[in-house]
Amino acid sequence: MRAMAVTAYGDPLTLLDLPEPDLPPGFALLDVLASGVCFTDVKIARGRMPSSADLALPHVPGHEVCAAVVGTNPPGVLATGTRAIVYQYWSCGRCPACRRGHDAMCSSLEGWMGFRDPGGFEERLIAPVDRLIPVPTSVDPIHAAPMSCALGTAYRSVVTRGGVRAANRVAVIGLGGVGIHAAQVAIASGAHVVGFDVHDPTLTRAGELGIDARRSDDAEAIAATIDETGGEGVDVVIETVAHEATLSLANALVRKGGRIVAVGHAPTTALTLPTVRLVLDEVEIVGSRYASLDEMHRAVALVADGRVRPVVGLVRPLEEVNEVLEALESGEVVGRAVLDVSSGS
Amino acid sequence: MRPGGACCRDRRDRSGTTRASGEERVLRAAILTGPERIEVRTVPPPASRDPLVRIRSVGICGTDQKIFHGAIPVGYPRVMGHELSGEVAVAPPGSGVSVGSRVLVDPGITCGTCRQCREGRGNICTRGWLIGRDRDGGLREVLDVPATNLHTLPPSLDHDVAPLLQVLATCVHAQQRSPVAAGESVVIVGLGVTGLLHLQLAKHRGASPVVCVTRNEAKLELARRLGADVTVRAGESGGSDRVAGATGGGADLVIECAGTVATLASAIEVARIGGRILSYGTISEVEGALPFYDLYYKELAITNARSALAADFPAAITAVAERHVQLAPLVSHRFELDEVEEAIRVGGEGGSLKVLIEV
Repeated sequence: MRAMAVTAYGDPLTLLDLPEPDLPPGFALLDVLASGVCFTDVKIARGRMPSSADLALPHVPGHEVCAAVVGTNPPGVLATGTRAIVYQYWSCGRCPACRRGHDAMCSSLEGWMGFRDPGGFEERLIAPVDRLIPVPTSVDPIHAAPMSCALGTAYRSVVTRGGVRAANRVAVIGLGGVGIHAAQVAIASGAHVVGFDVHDPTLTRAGELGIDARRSDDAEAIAATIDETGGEGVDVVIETVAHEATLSLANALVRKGGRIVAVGHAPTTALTLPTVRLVLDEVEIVGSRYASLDEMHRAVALVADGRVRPVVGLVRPLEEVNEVLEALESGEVVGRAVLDVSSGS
Repeated sequence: MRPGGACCRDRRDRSGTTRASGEERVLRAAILTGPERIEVRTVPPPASRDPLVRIRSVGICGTDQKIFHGAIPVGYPRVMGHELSGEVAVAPPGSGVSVGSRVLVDPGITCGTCRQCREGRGNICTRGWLIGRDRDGGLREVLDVPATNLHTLPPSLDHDVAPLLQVLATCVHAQQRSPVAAGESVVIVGLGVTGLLHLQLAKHRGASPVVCVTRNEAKLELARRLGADVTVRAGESGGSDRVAGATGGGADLVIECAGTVATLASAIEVARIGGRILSYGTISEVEGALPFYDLYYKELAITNARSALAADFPAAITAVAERHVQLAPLVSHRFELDEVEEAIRVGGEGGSLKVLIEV
């Protein structure tokens, strides 16, 4: 089968012809239909992940997978043809984090699709049957693929970690793959949302989706955002970029007693907040990582009833993944980029 | 009585600012002199250091029914009415309100010192007063109200519907107590005024799907117009299966708005394992059959909610001003101040929704 793999850090991904995976008990064999490409894949391909040194190469990335079930072991657990997205953490269920219900923080993962284990940049994949989330057929595979990471991560950051509810004032900084979905989830939750970005096509696309999108380098737009809250600042900031400048913007926007949700991360970036704001203004800072299985189901429900639209700005066949990675690095992609894995052969 | 949709411009226009000033002539009030006895009398303007509000519109609710019939004891004479909107007629210096401001009244007056007030839960203050029950309410032309209990209405919100904002605020409060998250499934049992408000709020908060259950076909039709994803007639053959099918086997949250033991039992039945129940309707029965084992087996969380906090009023006003919640379809009857007894009788009938008194 065709696969696009990292063979050496910094080199383009290479087309390999790999054998189909075996199907162990408890797993489903999947036909990959589409695979989202996240900025994390750039870091994986360039060897810039904390785990890069320990990763065995060649490695097949891809952690935003929409696939169709070919078969299961034992047979019949899921109907052939069932369309599903895949939850990337194949957690152990036994470690302290798993026992607290935090699958994404499992300390002894049995599999980590696309990060440590083969991901969706290949035609056939295996995944545990309990990590599959069925998706409605009304959502095509290209738009379903980013629901697992981009949308699920957005949902957790807004609803669970951000606690965003109706009438809250929310700022989303960075309207990339996570941010453009976070803004939609916040709107679906009944909040007043302002999105910030510097990329004009992204701002335009966000505007088309009903998001009040403003330039994050426009001091007047920032001042207006605060003025519109009666000078208080917003209740919740969803920070998806993890640059010093955007973290500083988050601090400028959040009201006393408000919350900053850090969902963007970079190994070299530290979040600094004046202690006055932390203590005297009781500003909360919380991190948000990926999503639970249940959060993923609820996020999919929002897509199913039309309240959130997955945003895909670039679709290419599997073999063109290197061009997609370059487009992501240059910051040109609006929403998510997706590989159409079912096309070509 | 006039039809629910109509309003009475000529009456309103006659009562201009002079009369609203509270300095003028006689003021009328509908006074409860004993159980089921109301007299419309003239009264002097309230002697108070608080702002005076020229009352425009008053909602009649179940609490008023109970006060009227003597089921909730009050000291007589008493002026009922706690769902109120009007205009500020007299604004004492430093009160922060201005004459002519259109306002919604928060009828809960708190002591500020009890345990609940100290922890920010003034709506369940043990020493507080409810306007219209523990002190005189709004079935009168002019009422004194503490400035902290006044919420400014935006121009888009008319007195025709404004008293319903007080009811909506209690629904907002309830949905904060058991927060509805986007993408959660919600079942609403009982589609009186509060059920229909909870439906709209749950949709506004991103609930999906929202399933509505009641016996009354007309209310189911109204629920569909107001955004219900699925409607089920209570007691219909296969109704439970339809609710289960729509919610994927059981609801994340069931909001019980009918206020009977039997409907609380059905709420327990349609909640998912690990789900939540918001017991919103006031249950006056003191015994009855509940599936107690299911409470254990499903590990259900039952939350009760009473009245609204101060912060819930602006949220309610915003939800309506931004058209996420419609109030006008929930008004079924309108009466005038000398028709309060008739209004209470009509409000007690099964098919009615909100009954308003235009003062």
